[in-house]
Amino acid sequence: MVFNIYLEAAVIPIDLILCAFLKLKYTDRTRVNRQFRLLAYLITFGTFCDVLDVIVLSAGASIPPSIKFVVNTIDYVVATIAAYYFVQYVMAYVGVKWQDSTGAYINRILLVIYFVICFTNIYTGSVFRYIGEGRFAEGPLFMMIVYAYPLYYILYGGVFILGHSESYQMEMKVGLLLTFIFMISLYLLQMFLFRDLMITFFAASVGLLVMFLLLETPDYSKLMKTLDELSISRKELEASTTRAAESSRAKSRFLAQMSNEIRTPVNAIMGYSNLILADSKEESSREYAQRVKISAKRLLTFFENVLEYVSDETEENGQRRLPSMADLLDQTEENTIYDGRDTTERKAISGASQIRVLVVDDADLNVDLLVRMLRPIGLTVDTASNGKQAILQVRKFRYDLIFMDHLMPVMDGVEALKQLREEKLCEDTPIIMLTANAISGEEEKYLKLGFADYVTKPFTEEMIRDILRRFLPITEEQWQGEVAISEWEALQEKLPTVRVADAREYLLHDIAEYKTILKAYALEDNSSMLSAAIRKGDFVTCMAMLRQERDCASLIGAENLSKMSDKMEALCRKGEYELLRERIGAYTAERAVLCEQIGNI
Amino acid sequence: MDKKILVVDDSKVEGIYIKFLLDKLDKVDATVCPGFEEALELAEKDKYDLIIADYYTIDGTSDMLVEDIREKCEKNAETPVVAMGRDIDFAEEDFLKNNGFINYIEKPVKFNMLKAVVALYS
Repeated sequence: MVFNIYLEAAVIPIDLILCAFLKLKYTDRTRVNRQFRLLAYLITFGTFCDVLDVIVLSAGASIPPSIKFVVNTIDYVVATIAAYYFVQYVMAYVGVKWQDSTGAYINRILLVIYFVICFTNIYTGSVFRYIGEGRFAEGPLFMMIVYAYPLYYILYGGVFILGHSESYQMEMKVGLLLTFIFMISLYLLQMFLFRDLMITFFAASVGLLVMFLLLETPDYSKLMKTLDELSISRKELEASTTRAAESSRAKSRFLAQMSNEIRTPVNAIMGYSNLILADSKEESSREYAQRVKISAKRLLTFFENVLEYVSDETEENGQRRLPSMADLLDQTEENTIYDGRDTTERKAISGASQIRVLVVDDADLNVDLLVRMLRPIGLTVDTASNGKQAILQVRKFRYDLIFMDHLMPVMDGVEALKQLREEKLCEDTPIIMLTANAISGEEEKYLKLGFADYVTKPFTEEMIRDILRRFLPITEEQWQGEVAISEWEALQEKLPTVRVADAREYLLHDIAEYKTILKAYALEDNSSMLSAAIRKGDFVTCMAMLRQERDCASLIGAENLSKMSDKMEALCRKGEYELLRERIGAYTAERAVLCEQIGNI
Repeated sequence: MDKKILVVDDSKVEGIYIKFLLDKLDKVDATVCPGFEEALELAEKDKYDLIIADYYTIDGTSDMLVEDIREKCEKNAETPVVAMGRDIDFAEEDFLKNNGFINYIEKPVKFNMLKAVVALYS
């Protein structure tokens, strides 16, 4: 060989392995990836060309000069192109779009000039001339084309890296710097001292390998690490979302339970106070009962405000501080219950209902009665004592329903209705006339005037309920729920040994059906049949009856009876009829008590 | 076509309750009877899509009823029978299969369970 190709020949396998790896495993279509692969292929090809060139030049006469000329030219051109693409890669690595920079533009121009010179070399011989016997003579532009051009591009790339050093980590920069020094040194050595040794592409291959290890592979492991972290984060997010949802549900359940626990005794207080007011004729007792009632209502409103704040906090997840006692008391003061005096400006909130009703009547007693029927259901109720005040109220709020008395001072109901319709103040609001006029034929008059319906005084709770059912935007289910809760509570009080709430679940909240079943339970008294079966030791009948007792007791919520019959069933299975006989007495007695209570409903 | 369901329960209270639940289901025609005799009469006359029978009754355990129905009532030879009772009654392996029941519901019956059973087996 005219030149020493051992280094370069040795590095070809490494280049090929790298290229194979890139082709098979490096399949991302990113620009950086593509540029690096291209660079790798070029350098591999270049190394191969370098070796081939020497072989061809050394081949003597067996290879025609034209072939030698072409291979030689290709060899030099590939070196420059590889160096050019080194710059492209380096720019792509930091994300710079090379087309846009001025430097790239200059580089392109230079490359074009390079190609022109190389091409015209056939005629001009400015780079090299074939002088026979495998030798080439260097032309005037030889150094520039063969050494300076590639060197220029390599240095350009190096300067670019320096200029964008923040895009590279420290170890990358150190590695690249060392590689650079190594390559440039080799290059210069070859240029000036060891013209016989082919090392340019060897240096380039080493540089390629170093770049691959420093710049390309770290990304992979970083990527994998990031993906792992993302996956972990996602799982944690899912877990915490689930926890948050559960916590929220737990809070809702707690709130619902709390609400129930508070309302029940307070309603009992109010209920019994009502009873005292209804039964007692003594002035002082009535006054005391009235005060108890007012306090209970305040307590209820207070608790409901607390629960409302807490539930808002849960739902909104915001940083709301819990209101101080003073704040809540203030709010409670504002929302004072109606106590029979001037109420035109008083508003009251009971529960969290957005359904608003207006009651207009000059008789305090009537207003009081209606308010007492409506507020406990959870409606927001405002009052007015004549037509004029009613109009003022309607101007302020939107009402779902209005009860309007007929004869009132200042402005009566009919006049008020006319004005409201004229002002188009409450076009979809049904207005119900409260009238003492029981004369038949009058109804049509009211309906023609624009009233949705009328109620004759004295009105009953049933009549009012009927109006509410028909005109309020409450679904039947909601209605059942709101109104029925108090019915269930009343029932619970009459049956202290029964857990009414359990039965309610089975009976799908149908209180009428529950009452039917309770009555049937009271009638279906098989105690005598059961006692007889126990005495006889009749297993089949005993099991059937005890099972029946237990199932029915569970159904109606008679917890204790259910447990007792459970224990008795266990005894029956074991054949312990003696013990059963001892137990049946107590069971029958307790069942009888329950039946009596059911009879009092 | 309405599904015909026969319920056998010797307790009047349970009978009222189960009828109440079944009436809430769409396209279901439910009959409740208190004992084996009536059950056999009804099963001879009509074909039922599903039979639900309390396990422990005064007339005996309802696997005997199932046997009788399979033998004597042609129309209901294939009708699925669901038992009613407690978990311990049916805990033994293959108990249900060996006694002709396709499944069981716990008592007191929950509406959702009943709904599911009716949907599954009829």
